[in-house]
Amino acid sequence: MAAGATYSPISTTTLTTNQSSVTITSFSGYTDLVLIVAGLGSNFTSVALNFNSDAGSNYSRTVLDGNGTSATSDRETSQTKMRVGVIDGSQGINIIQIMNYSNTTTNKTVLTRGSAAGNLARASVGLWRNTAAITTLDIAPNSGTFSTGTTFTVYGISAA
Amino acid sequence: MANTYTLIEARTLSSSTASITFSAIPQTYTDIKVVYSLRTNLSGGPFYFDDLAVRLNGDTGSNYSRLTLRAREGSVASNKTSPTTFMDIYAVDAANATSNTFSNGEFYIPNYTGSNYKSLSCDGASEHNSANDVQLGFAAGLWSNSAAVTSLIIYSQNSSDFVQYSTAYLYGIKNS
Repeated sequence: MAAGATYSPISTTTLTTNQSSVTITSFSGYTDLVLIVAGLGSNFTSVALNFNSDAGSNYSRTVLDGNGTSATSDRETSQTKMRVGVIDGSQGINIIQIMNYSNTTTNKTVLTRGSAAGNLARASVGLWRNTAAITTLDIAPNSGTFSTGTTFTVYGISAA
Repeated sequence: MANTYTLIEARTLSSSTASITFSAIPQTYTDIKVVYSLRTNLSGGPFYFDDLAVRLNGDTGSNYSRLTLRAREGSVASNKTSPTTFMDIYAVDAANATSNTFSNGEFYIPNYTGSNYKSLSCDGASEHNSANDVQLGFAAGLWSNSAAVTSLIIYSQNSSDFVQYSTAYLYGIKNS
């Protein structure tokens, strides 16, 4: 194992009011990022990501969903946001891993585990078709708002 | 920059044991995570797997719910339970599974000291080169209790024992 810190807190945001989105910046210097979204929202809906304020049709994702009755898979291509997570009106968690986010030669890949125990368990993979280093994360519910008390914490993982 | 992913306690069983308990969990982290490698001695039938349960703070009330997404023997399924008196999180290898094979997984509890209800995200896998009960699963859990999590216990729903060499590690993660 490499010496030094390899899982470091970068920033944390706790909502004091309901918000429709959260923007996180200033996370340079790491290899990968882990974003923990813990809390609830006004609607049962997807949690979506945008990078570097890009609202172009450059996002795709594949999900494997379980709703307590059946397991299904769904795919979206050329979307304006990456709908990888899930949130509802009860406490839940999304663990979002963004690999090799600062390189400037590859498109960016995201792996997510989304837990909304009353409605959905979601495993997903997302792709942003852009080779730019990620410098800004925008996180938003697909509809409605994140509720007061929801937390957004970013950790940086260093390869060495 | 501080490294805040810290091992709080490690358990490696030297003999068969009915449960693994982490008590007096420090209240100084933001999130906690348990990483496990477990196998039980459940036998007497086609027991390739056993059912794992978690309780928080010794709460035996009907305050736990969970929803799973599971691949098993080549098919996928989803199941939901609510409410139950324990968190029914996942299956682990049992006596008839291939020898020396343990199920591995982890579960993550964010904001475990907060006054909110506690959510849980669990990933687990049981693969033993067999057509029987090889499983890959993901569970979303909720403990409908606003108390800070100070202890947790992991045990078999079928009252079997975890076998020797089973391990469980508790990590604490700080957000600053």
